[in-house]
Amino acid sequence: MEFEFTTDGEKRRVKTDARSPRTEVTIDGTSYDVDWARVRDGVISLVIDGRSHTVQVARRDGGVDVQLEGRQFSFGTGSRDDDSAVAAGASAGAGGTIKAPMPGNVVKVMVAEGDEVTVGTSLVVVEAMKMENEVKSPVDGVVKKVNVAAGDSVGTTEAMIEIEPAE
Amino acid sequence: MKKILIVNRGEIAVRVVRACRDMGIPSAVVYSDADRASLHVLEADEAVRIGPAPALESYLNIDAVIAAAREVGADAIHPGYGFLAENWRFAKRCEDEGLTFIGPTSDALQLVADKIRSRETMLAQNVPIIPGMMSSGKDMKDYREKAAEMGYPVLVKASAGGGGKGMQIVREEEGLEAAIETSSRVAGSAFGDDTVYIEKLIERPRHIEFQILADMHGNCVHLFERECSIQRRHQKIVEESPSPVVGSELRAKMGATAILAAKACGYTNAGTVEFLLDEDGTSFYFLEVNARIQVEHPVTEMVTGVDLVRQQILIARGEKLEFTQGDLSQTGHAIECRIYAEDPKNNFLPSSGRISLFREPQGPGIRHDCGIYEGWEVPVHYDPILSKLIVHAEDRDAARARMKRALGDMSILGIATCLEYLWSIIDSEAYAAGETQTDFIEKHMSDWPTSTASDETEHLALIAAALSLSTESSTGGAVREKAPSPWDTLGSWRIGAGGGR
Repeated sequence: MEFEFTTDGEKRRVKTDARSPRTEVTIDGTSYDVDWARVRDGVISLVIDGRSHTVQVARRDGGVDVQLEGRQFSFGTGSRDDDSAVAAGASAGAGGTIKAPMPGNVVKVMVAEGDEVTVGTSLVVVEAMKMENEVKSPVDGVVKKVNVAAGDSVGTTEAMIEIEPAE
Repeated sequence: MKKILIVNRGEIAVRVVRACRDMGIPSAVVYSDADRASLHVLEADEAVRIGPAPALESYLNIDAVIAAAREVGADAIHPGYGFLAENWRFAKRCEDEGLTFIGPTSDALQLVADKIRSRETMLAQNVPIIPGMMSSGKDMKDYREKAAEMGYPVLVKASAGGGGKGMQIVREEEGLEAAIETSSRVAGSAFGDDTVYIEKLIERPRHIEFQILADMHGNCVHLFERECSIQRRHQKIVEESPSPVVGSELRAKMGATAILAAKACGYTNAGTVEFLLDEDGTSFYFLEVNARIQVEHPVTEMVTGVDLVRQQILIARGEKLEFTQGDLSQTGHAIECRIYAEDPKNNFLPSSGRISLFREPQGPGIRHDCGIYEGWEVPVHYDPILSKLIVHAEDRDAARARMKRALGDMSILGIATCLEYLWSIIDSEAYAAGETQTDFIEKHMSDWPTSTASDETEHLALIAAALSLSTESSTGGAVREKAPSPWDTLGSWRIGAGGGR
């Protein structure tokens, strides 16, 4: 079987035959002779060149989280869109579609339909776990639609605000 | 005490439930709708629904808390930390209702909550305070003169403040007016009190605090220091005891001052006297009294062997302290790391969702005060602290090594956590050298992650991911063939079944 994972925008191709407990795994051309066992759901034991590694693996929407030896990795498996839902700082999205950076509650909406905004204009304050996050405009433009009000709970996928970017 | 109602959630509620059970005292917890399946409810003897998810309508709802206490027949309340723990009105209400508030009196709470009043109290006892104003300014001219007198840089602070809210550093006079206005506005909306004042800024200090225990018979002891200098956004994230820079002479002096400060406030029960220690490690200044059990109390428990929650209950019950200052000593070194549900790779945004995999570290000298379990959905409504990992070892180097190992052995998947970030802090040369001033994070961690994992580690992760995914797919058959063991074939049974509890 062949898998394609994405990490930090880069692709990794992994080829494996998991039906055998001793298998060759190839990652972008590098091969490993892997003796492996599934310990329980989410826990994989690897012995490679006599070295033992216990790895925790958990599925999530659009990807898989892996933890071993104090490091944590988040690989994308689906389409790239799944990974771009959460971007650093201000929320991202195509053009002027503003999504919440994390699931939470809307504390304050600071713009109304028709308002002109520039990059960095504060649009919405979203609160989660006692932390307030100001969502700022990533573009210059005009607010086309406001879909949320103070008190609403929001996820990371729906558009809170839509901005018509200036040409 | 007939029964204790625990008015909190998460790891601290679990901690108090266990202390009650150890002491043979029945206890009950409260829960909001968002916490029906939370660990503190699962661990409790009794549980009462207290309201909907928002804290204001549940854990902060004084009427609902009092009603819950009546419902379960509790005669005492343990408030944990946060929520109502330092709310003097709540303590007063408990006093009026004839319920034992496990903490200081409402009078002492009211005094220590007011920064200006506590500064006056300390000054009267010759407890060193940070040079600065003893009241808010009359007008801008007054602020200007006072600031010039103490010399820039200065710190504008809210009298009712906490958690760094409303705090502003001013390095030159021209920034003063704007800082006072901002600070006053923030304080007004956050605390309902816009009083601000100015203090001299102590540059690159360490945050050193002393645990104290005071009974209701006039006895007061300190249980040495905790250093909590490593903070992010004014929240402590790594704490330890002893401090790497406090020697026995300074320790004795600061400890005696802490006792003096506590007595000056009429403080009883467990509390913490916070100090700033200057960069040279010679002068220290009173900062504030934290009138509750602290998040970081386990490091003190590890080095002193004293169960602080048990002591809180004994003191509230009116008992005399079982030990004197001379009976107490620090043994070895303890470090605590706070595990938050937040994403260090994405601006530390809080992270909620289902914990799909959870593994705790084990071994000698490891303690995990935990409020979560595998499969639990982390709610968005409350503080993002999930658990606290504490290690104890013979000395600081051994404790550091043990903490690194323990963090590496811990797994929480499904949500983002700061585990890897904490590992980097403990692993850093600056931490090893004990350079733990309060600017540690900005000075040593601003370019984190410095190096991404080696190719080899990433490849191992990819191998495991691929193998794991391929066993899920329909082709299947990847689970290693083996002879069925009796554990697989016997079905549901357990040793000693029928005993019951």
